[in-house]
Amino acid sequence: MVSTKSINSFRREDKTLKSKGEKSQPIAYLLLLPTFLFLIVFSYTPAVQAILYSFTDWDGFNAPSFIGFDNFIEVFQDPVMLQSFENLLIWTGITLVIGLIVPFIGAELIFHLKSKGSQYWYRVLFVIPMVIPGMVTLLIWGFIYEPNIGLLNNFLRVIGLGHMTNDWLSNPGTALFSLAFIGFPWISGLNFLIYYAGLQNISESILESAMLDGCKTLTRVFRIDIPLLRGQFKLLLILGLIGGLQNVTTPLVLTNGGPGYDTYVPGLYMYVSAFQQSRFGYAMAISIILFLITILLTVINLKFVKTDTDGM
Amino acid sequence: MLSTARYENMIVHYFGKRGYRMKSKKCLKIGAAVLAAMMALSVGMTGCQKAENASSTTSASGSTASGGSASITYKGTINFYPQAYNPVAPTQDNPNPPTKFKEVAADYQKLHPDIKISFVANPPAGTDYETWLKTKAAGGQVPDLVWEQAPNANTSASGIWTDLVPFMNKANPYVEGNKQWIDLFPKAVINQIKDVSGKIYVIDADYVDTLIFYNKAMFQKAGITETPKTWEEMIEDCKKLKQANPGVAPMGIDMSTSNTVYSWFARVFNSNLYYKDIDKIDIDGSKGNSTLSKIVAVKKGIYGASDPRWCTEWFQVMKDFSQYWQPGYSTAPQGGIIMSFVNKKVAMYYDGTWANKSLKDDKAPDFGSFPVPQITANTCKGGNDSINTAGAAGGPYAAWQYAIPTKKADNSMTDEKLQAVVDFAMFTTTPENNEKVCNELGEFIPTIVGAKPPESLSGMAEAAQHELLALDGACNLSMPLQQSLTRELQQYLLGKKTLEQAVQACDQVTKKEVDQQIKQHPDWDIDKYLK
Repeated sequence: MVSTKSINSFRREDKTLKSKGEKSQPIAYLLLLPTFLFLIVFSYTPAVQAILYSFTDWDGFNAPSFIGFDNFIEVFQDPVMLQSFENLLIWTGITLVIGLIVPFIGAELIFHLKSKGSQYWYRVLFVIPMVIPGMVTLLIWGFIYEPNIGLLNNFLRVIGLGHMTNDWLSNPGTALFSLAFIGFPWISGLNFLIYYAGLQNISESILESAMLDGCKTLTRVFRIDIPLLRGQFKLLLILGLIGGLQNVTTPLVLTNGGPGYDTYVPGLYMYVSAFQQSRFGYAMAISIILFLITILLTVINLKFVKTDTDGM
Repeated sequence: MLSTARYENMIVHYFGKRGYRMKSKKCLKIGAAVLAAMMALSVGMTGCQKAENASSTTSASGSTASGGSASITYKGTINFYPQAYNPVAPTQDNPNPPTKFKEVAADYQKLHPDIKISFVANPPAGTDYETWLKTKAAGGQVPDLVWEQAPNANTSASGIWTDLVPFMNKANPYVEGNKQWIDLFPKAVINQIKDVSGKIYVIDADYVDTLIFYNKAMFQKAGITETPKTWEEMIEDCKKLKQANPGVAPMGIDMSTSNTVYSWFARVFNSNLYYKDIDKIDIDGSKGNSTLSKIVAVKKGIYGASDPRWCTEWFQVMKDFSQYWQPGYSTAPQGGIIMSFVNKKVAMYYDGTWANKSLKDDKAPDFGSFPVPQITANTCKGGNDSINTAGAAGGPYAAWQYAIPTKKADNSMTDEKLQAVVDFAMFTTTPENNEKVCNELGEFIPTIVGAKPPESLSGMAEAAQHELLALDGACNLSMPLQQSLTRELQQYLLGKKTLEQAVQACDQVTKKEVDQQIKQHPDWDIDKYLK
């Protein structure tokens, strides 16, 4: 762990370097300026506007009128909103569990292949699907779930499980789970790459020592790999939470929140409120609530999930 | 408002007191300045919007409606989106697009060489269209003459569409002997499309109907020799079709929120069930079709959960009917329900008259069509044998509904341009042009006085001249309301809610929508109708 004394010595050294005549480079600030300007205009300003307009009644066209906390009160009294949060809880829970565990298993299996060549090719095969646009993936899954001519129902009939065919996206009992299971077998993608990079960072000497000590595979996974990958788990947990809370495209494209409100999520309700019901102020209130929930969960995650680099 | 310098000093002081020392105080000052600038930008943009509102409101109310060819001084392009009549290039999905509007535009350009009519490429369809339009309006980029459903135009955010009444009272210079443009439109149509305060936002010049299309071969196989005339006969035919054609759903219904089938059934049933009380609903001569009639009917409780005719009765009919629908009816099928019919997955399906052309283009199996069968006293409680409401799901809500945006919704609109756009709209609504454009497509009938429909659709022409009996229970007040009601029906059909729960939920969302609409349109005077 780096001591305060050494940090201060770095600062003194840094000051010394500066006092030796090293000038700051204004050109660097100038080159960064366009990026910051775009960031301010397209990222931060809309966010600030969302906060300001969430306290207004605004149809997106005429001037907004200030209504205080009315939008926020309505959000918590809206039965559609409550159903949306319930759906979000279930959906995010499923996708987090799948997103944290399955890519980890895939990364472990590939990392511990004996042949480096095999490792490389399996990595490539699992990463290639990332280049397919998300919308295409969703439409393909829409076809897979189609009750009349879809792949899933036809496959079930072919293997003699015709009695299990279903209206996957139209049945209230299966619609939400069908959306949550999109992406099967859930190995390819960013999560897999992050875990794999984490495993590559584990020192070979640790793994060799464990092997020499007679450490079995599962023991090594639970005693060495998982503790050393806590940072990756933490990151993917945060990203998974953020992704789940912002989920709009999947329900919008495949079910439009239906049947009924069974796949309605707050992100979709926000979109519908703004762009279909022309209630931008209300939609922004929903977005602020989602933002606060994201912040809260991120803080909890950062505070309670320790990694090996925390506290250094 | 604080100056930027004072604001940044506050930030520096705030963070400084809390022990945040940075290598360079300048960095903190820069950060504070950026935050202050963001706040100023946000507030400034709100102020600009207010100023814009004020100026454009003044401009809109200040424009004069002179109309007439001689006064057109505009030089430039008029952007026009004519929906189904759009003369686009042929594609695989649309191999035979219409062309007549291009001819009409060319004729107009000969008369006005300084004006060019440019057709907007097809925007998204279905519910995405309204999203597209609202986004365009927010950005001041609505095309100069654009398709919009009259009920939606009446309940849009105020200030998007130009009130056409001043222009309607002027003569159409392209129709000999015409004294007022409004005289070219059937009175029945005008009564249905005007808003609560009597404004007209849409130039409406065609008529549509809905039909049930059926597969002739499947009907023959099931031993059905005549198309059903009553609802009960149709249910019997569904049973026969189910037995004779295994694996094929008797009826294709797209009861998703991407479609408007809920509204069609609502109109067919409400018109029949409320027929005897039409006088209570029709308060302005529109036979209950106007936005005003609907809103007042909701406020008075005529349309509401307390009246079983509103939803309770016909929801039960739908529940029984849904057992014959194709699987997955609450989700929009890929390619649309029409493809299920073309691919012989359903024996019949419910669609608009526009499907005629699409079915031919998609090479559907040999098909015929029939109107929605008669609701009878046996169909549901209150069913009326004496009134046929099959046509209720149709009306002047087809492709020829064109609105003109205000300057706020269309940044390029000026008073000069507005005169030109109105003039072009007048030119298109001569009987000859209306007839030429509508009859080429063959899906809707022209309704301009003097225009003649094709023989095959002449039955509809008669309907267009009379007040349409199309009581919709207020579901057509807005697309979001219709979607909410569709969701409640879905939940009832799929067993997620009881009938009472679904109807109560419909009641709540309808009342909420009406209150929201009244709030958004302070110029509507509803109270005088509630006394």
